[in-house]
Amino acid sequence: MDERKRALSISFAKRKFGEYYARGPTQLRVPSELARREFGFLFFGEKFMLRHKGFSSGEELIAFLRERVPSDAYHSTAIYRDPEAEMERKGWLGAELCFDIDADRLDAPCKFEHDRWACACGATGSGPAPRACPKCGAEGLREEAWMCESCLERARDELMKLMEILHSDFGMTQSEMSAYFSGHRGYHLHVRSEEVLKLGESERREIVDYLMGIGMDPSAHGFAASGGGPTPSPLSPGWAGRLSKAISEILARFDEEGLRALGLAPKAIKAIVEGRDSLLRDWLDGRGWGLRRRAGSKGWEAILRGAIKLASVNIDAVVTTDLHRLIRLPGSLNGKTGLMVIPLGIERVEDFEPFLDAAAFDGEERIHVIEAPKLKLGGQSFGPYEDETVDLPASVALLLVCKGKAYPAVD
Amino acid sequence: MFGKIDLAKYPFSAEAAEYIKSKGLMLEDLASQEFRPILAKAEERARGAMLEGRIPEWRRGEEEMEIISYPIALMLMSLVRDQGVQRRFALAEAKRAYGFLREDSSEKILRIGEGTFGMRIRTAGESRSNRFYEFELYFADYLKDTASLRHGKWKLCNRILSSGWVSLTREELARLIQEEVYRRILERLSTPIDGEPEFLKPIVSGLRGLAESARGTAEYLEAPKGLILEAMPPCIKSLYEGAIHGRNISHMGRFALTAFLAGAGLGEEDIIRVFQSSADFDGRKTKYQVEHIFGLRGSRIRYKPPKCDTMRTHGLCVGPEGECGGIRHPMAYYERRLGMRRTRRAGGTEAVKATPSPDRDG
Repeated sequence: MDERKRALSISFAKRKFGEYYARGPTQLRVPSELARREFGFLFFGEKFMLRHKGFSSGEELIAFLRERVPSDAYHSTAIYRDPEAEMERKGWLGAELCFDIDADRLDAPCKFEHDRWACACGATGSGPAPRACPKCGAEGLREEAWMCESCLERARDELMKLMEILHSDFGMTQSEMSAYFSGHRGYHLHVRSEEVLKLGESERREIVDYLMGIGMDPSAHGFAASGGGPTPSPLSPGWAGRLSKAISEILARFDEEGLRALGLAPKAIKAIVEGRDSLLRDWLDGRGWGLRRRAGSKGWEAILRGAIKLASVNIDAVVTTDLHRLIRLPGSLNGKTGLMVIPLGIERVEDFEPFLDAAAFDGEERIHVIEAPKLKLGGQSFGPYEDETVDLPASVALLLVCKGKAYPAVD
Repeated sequence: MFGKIDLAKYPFSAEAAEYIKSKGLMLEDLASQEFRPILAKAEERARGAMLEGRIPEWRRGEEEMEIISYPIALMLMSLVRDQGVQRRFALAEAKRAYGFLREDSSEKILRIGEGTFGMRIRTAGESRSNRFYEFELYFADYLKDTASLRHGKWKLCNRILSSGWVSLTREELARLIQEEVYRRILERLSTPIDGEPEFLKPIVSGLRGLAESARGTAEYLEAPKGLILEAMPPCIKSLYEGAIHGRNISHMGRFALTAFLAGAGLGEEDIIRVFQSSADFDGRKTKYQVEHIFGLRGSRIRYKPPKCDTMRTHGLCVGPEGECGGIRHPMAYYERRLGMRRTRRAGGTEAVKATPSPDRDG
């Protein structure tokens, strides 16, 4: 894209963002204790983030959004005595417990359909970028992550798993949790309670390890490789029940292919496939030693590893452990897509349709698409497009422009 | 009931503080002849902690002295103004408390945990996997209390956690109260006392002298010859810094650090000196452990430092994922930084064995 087209794209995006902030914005959720938070902004066509910004009221924040029209708006998960001071002098008072679930990390199969990579030498390909360019050997390839309903659905399942563990294991209540669609490829969950506010970095790290099953010793939960006693039931509290449930799932629905992927030897696979029903029945009755024996010690370890992977939550550990994190302002627009960072009612997480609910604009816009994969938005399919001028719903048009796949058509 | 013997066992408790307050003692009183034995007892507490890492036992009938000597020992430690020594003292007092707590009734454990330290504890009474979990501790308190406990069994993901409560055996709860005692004492000692009463000067300077000689002739803050601090991976660096600053290091952490330093070519004496400022330094034991890792004792196998996976499991990996650039072994990081080729050094690493389990190598 040449300079002129890029400038056109920027002014188009900025105009749409400006319209959005001018008319409300109704979805904006001013964070609690606003005056004690740090804000950060990115602007169209600028590289550097404006940080350490403070506001004394929601009106002041909205006035800023309207006047400056940032491409991205963030606030700190922490509250500070003096949010505008430099980091060491801010006076940290506590921070919400935040989680970031990114479809990018979930290795959804659709990644291979819609993600692309490109090298400076001109080579391109689909799927996640290889470590080095197969053509010229250069490293650090540019990745173009795309998103679709199916990878966001996976991310949403992950979010629900996260909320379930936080609720049943940690006793956190629905009223303490707020979930948001990030406007791009994932979900954020903020937990706010007196209890979590003061947690330090290493304590948050332990919570992350708990959720991700890092450093877990299954024998601590009754899954030792030997010894008698009943194996834990899926109804046991905490990880004991979660692992037991995951193992019963493996027994119930993993085919040969799936079992092989866990790292089981052919002999163990055969034993499981042939004895599936009785093994499952025994497992649910707490008689797990049959499975243990048939799998062998290596196989048993493989099953446990698989169960941990199945039952754990894939979150970005850095986001949760960082006490000074900036996170997207709910109700702002995401500069990568023009979609709203939108709060999800906890009770309707299951019904949330990101592309329908997060679309911020009505009407149509005419754009020229350079190249774009097929794209499903709010039940409708668009594209694929290649070098063509099209009239599209404004949100779809903005998405393609923000992604650098299109520029406004000039008559 | 919380009797005098309980006050003597737990002189840090809220009840003991109340009792001491009711005595209406003034600082000047301590200068009198009558208080000599109590001052002597306080000094004994301090010396015991410094020299042997333990508080001497008290004789039955001398509960009063045991109780009152505690705040005086705290005062002495505060006046000595030496963090390493203070940590050693705090640890000795905390371990003493643990020794009593684990033998005491559930009611007492609960009372100390809740009343003195504000821990949120529930009595549960459930058996699972052949263990009897008598108590539950609220997870936020649990995380705070286990922050410096590095053994894998304390990792939250290896515990039963339900609705925010972590199941604990009575012994485990007592162990966590030990952590509370340790932290509480260090907290108290972190606010220095202004001025030094004349009559305490001889005792305090005696303790300072003891601290000096116990630490050895040279402050060991300079890196031993042949060790390149800049090339250390973050995990080992954090353990190393912990050791020279006298912080407690888990068993696995010590093992990793020792084996790493040995692998980096340091001699036994040098390694022992690294651990010298640690709060629970025990010269004989450290020497034994180091020799063991060197293969001079026990199985005669020279141990290799644990690989990154193992470090991670034991909570010893400090860096965010990817910081070390895909390296799988701390030694490899060091060697790569030094630009060394992976050659076997003289001194023989041929009899190299996988990492022992933490329970076996000590």
